[in-house]
Amino acid sequence: MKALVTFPILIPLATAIITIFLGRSLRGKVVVSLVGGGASFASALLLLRTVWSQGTVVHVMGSWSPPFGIILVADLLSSGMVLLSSGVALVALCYSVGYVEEEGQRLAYHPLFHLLMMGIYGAFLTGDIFNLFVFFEILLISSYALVAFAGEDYQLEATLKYATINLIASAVFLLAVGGLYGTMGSLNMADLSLKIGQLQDPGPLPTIFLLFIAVFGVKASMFPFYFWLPDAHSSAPTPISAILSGVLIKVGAYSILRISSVIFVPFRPDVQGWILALAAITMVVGACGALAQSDVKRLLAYSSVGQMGYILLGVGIGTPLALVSTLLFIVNHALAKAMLFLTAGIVIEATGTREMGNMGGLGRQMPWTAGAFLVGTMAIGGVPPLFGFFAKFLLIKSAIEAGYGFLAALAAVLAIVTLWYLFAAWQQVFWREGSGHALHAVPRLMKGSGLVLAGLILIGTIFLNPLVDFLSAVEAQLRQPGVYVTAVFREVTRGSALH
Amino acid sequence: MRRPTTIIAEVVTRFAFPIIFLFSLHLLLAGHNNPGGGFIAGLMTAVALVLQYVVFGMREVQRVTPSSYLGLVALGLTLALGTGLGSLVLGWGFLTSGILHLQIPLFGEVEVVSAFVFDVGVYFIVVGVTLTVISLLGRETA
Repeated sequence: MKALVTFPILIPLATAIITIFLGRSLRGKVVVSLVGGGASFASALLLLRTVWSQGTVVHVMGSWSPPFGIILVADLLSSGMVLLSSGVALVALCYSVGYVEEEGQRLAYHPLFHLLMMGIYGAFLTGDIFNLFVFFEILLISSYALVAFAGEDYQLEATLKYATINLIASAVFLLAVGGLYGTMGSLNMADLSLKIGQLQDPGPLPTIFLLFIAVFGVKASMFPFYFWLPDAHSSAPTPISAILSGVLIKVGAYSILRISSVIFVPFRPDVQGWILALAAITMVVGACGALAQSDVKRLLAYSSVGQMGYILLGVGIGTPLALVSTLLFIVNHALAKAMLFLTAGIVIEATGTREMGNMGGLGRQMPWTAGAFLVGTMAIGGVPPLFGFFAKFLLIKSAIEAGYGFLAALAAVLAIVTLWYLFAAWQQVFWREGSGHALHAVPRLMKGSGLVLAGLILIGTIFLNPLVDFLSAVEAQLRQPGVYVTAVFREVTRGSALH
Repeated sequence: MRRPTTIIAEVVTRFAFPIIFLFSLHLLLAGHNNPGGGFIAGLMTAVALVLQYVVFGMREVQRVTPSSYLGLVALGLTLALGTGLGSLVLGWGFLTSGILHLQIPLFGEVEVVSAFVFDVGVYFIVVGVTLTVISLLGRETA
């Protein structure tokens, strides 16, 4: 069923529309929104199952056959990313119902949330590079509004930074798309892959590739484009922080992975040095930044910068082992960082402060939350037996095997730094002698959401082998862009036979 | 009450408003095969309303427009999504446009395309968003 690919995009859109129509009815909006989130997750699950059993699924939009029309393509990587993000989104949505104040939910929170998710799923599923730009804009515009949602001064300041840098990035994105279209005469990813494969003279393509990497690097918080992130991710309402840090920055990493494995395959060696160098600096900057924070959400945001450095490092090394471990890293970071933000939000709600210095001793009062935060700390820090350890271990191993001893050493040292600042944070918030504050009540829905993600990390650890097998299959598909291209053009011939 | 503008602006606006509005409808209808379309038509209608707002104030705009601007956006989105879903239900690709040639007396052959419904959706979205923006900016604050 080809139409299945459109469902993860259409369901959030329909949900957004219905929640606008519902006006100010809180109960109706919450029910529709949760049903929509659940349906998105179910459709993602179904899509991944179909892709796994029947291979890459292609949907030709408007019946204009590629390379002229726009297509949606679900291969293992994109449908896996859709499933991961829809899972995190569903949990964050449940959390939002308890977290976002009623007036906000009556207004625009639910429509914006689903439009944001529509943009994210669309960016994963599109097979056309201009369409990717469009979905980027959808997710960015919704996220600007969501970061500034409560309208506090610091949120507006963060949004201003976030919006400015991303508007510039969008302009550069258009420039790169224009350059690509001017050089190759096509924007369909599969078509570009074929054409670039047969090219004799590369012309400006390596430069265009670098432009794309810079643009996606802004989304993926790559050095030197990371500075909007700590503000935006820490100022946003907590469930949105979880989406931004857990899912949205991976859209940048995904896009780099996609264009370098399908479109610009011959030019990968040209940019590899850039990606590796910037990834290394990103790791260092993120770790140093996190060490200096006393605000728990800012600490987590800086930690996201550092961890994105690892992901980019894996993308840069590009050997099969490096890519498998990067994918494992993405799964781990998406679940664990989203969960850390959600639990940090619970603590902030209970104590009424974001300064870790004013917390302390909360472990006795909220043992489950402390436990969830500890699982997240261990997952991001890479403590065995959690699968975050294997992600980091395999990544460092792949760096050594590929001959990047220095980068491997740097990654190992920074892994210890990561572990240190996260455990220090946990110790400060939950362990040491408490200040004996009276705690505010926290809705049960919020506490439960954090635990669900902690549970998922544990399940991922138990089923590590099947997970790694699946990610190896994803990586095998990435290594053969021919599979992607053939799937797309098989659809063309089938379409023309139909008419 | 304080007069916001001059009498010249008021008279010109009264004449210009229907002309701009009609032209925007023309753009909407012409959009399928000629320059025009839902987006530009929506902008044109919005410009007419902005002119109304600048010259006569927000109350005058509210008199001629529906009360819920976001409802207008939702209606437009529904039309656009509905067009796509229709083709999906019929087994075509999402957003495939159906074309129907009708013989209508006086007009001759008229081409009816389902993409037109999509355009109307876009039109409502653009008008709704623009009205939301000017109603927020133009709200009388204490």
